[in-house]
Amino acid sequence: MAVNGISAVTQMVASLPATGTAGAADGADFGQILANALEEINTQQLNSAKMTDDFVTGKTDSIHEVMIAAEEASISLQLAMEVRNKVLDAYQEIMRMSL
Amino acid sequence: MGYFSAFGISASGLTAQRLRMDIISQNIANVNTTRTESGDPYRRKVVTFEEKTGGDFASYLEDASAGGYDAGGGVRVASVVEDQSPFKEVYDPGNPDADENGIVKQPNVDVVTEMVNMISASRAYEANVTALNASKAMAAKALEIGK
Repeated sequence: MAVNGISAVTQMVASLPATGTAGAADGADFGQILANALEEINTQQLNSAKMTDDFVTGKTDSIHEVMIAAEEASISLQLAMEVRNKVLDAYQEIMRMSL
Repeated sequence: MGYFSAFGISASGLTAQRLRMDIISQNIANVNTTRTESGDPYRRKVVTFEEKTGGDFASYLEDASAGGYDAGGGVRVASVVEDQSPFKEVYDPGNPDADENGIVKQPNVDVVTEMVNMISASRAYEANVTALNASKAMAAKALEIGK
């Protein structure tokens, strides 16, 4: 009967806000994780720039430390870019769903 | 970022080999130094290394219980000691540092030994750089999982 079909839909609608709040809670934690990761990447970039300046002005003469800091910062940034691409792909996938 | 501990280990190896190279250069530069501040000829310096553990026991236990394995923290310079082998004695009465018998004490530095050590230090440095490049390539490959 048509009434049964409508009751099933209303049950589904009633359950939506619960998942919505759960999604928001996960989003807050994920946002914190993302912020922490970006902070760490920024720290690594600043550290790499500082070590390069120290080497150029002559305060340190260990060139391998400078190169390793630059590589670490570069890899961290690439990792952040890949994660961003994945998140964007997931977001676009969801937005593509026709309602 | 587990890969960066591998970078730190290779970095400590590079630092250690550079210090060893500096000591070898010091020995070669002073191969004819017959007078130092203490009055003796220059004594050959030798650098000894020891393994640097990854950390204290608490961090090791934490890593082991989490399933990881602590490979260590690299290498550390234990000490820079002077080689106690006897000086070379050369008969050279015209030297200002000769004693009453005309014998001059030359430093106990053998240039051939120092050259061999220099090659060894240089190859060890290159090996450390190769290991570091391998770790970097592994990290870059891991990033390709997401591509």
